[in-house]
Amino acid sequence: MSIIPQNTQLGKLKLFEIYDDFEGPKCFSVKNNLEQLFLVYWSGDLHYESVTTWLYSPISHKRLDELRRQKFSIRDVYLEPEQCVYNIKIPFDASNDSVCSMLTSEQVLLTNLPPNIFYLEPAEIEVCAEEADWNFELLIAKKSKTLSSVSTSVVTKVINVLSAVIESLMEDDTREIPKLYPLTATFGSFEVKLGTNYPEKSSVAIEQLNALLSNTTSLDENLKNLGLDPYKLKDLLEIVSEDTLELTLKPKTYEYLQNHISIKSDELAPSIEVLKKSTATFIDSSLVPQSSDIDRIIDVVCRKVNGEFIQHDDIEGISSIRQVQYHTAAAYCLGLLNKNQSVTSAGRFLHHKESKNARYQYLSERFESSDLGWAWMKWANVNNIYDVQENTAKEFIKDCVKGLNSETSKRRASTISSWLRIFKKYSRDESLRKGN
Amino acid sequence: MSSSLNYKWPIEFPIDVPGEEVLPASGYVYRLVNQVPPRPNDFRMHHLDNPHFNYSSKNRHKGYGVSVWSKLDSLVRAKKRYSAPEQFGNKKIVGGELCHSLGAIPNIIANDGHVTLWKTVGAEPHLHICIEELL
Repeated sequence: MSIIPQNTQLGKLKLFEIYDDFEGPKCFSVKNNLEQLFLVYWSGDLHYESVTTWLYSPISHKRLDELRRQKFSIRDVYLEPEQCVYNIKIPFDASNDSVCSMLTSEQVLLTNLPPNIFYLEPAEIEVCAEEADWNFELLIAKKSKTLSSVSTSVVTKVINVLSAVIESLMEDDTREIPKLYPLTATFGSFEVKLGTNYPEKSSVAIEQLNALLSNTTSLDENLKNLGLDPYKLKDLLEIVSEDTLELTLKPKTYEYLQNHISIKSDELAPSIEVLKKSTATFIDSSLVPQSSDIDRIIDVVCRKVNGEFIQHDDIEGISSIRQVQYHTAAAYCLGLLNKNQSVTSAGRFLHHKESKNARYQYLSERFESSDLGWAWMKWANVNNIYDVQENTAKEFIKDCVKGLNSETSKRRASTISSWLRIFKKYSRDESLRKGN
Repeated sequence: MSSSLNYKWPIEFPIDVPGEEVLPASGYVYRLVNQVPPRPNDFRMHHLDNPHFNYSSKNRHKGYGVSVWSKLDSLVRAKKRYSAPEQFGNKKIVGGELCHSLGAIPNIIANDGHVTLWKTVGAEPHLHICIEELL
């Protein structure tokens, strides 16, 4: 028998999530073609009528979110429906149409309702619809309702910077790349559903962020312990503070994360002050190159400027797509390509330079002002990248770059040491010293 | 692994059911039945009683099996969640030991204790899983 009625006034229904599957789904939610959600509970089989009966109640996303967080039982949804309760009879024989009837509150009490003890169990939820596959809800709001609304650029910035902070905290030395990404946003508000490929890790990361912000006195030390770049956290706090926002991050269920966290603009000044003076230095592994061949990086960027679609067999000495990616990633480290591999103005400027010498000299300057160059200088406590010693690369990576295993660390250390040696030869300061 | 088990499967089984990831049945399991002692009708494959049930593609093969449970808690909870006579209220819980001659089960048991038993031709699980659990 089908568990979803056909040809009723509820519309064309599709499974959204399953909450209890015992010899087939017995409690679940469905969504119709008008995006309306219903909570569904099996109220039994009537053999004398040859039908199976179900209780359907329209439910808002907000209430379903609270149900998943076990704020109330499934029974409460039917006893205090947001709109109404339908009794649905689906014939055992699928060739007959289902019958849907709206129940009065008295009639609801006469049906087989779920017991008081029946709460949704987070570990048992099976996601069926793509849009149901989210993990956290982020609410971006102005602290005061009298202030103007949150601008779209602020929303984008908050999502980007918050994701960068959480992803950074999720990193470990496995090859997995942790991700936090927006899934759906509710129109007219800034409630954004976020998904992640590692729900448990991201919950730990969010708890770590909460712990970081709740202890300002040990903030610097805790940043070092967690390996989080203070600039990333400062970026996030400054956006919240400057735009007088309040961010609320709630988990879909309390399976991994026990509470929601709030970041409020009026509580951030002490943390921002500590972050300004922070001595912690960390950078993302994505900003540390894997390709030491500068000529090939230039070649890749110039081909991109010319609109070429780059394939590995187009470039001499490259034998796989992965190696092409090493070069585009290196170009990203120097700000020549964007993360989506489109060319930046710096990349176009490089292409515009005609001689090899001019290109290397330009890249030498880009290197000094890159995130990598700046972090290395800060770590070495010098004011000029050319005062950094190449042989400190390994130690610098060990101290400041998260998310690399020992073999990869060695390779990256060799790459950046080689870059530094090459770029030192082309620095303007060096040229001036030589009287060129 | 099923190809090496040499079971004779019912003609209703598609060619890829029960699949390769199975073992000869073993272990103590429970099931909800209509009467004690249970009868053959208490162990019918899900697909026979629910021919129009829309299985997801990953669960389609399970429809040709009988659901039994390695954890008693799962059945007790189901009876509490659906306690009316039209639901599971009048069902009884029976337990018993599976044996190789009954058929095959998945080689990995689900966290909730659900086990699909693919019965071989002539299997009589009602004679093995028949001890009533009095709650």
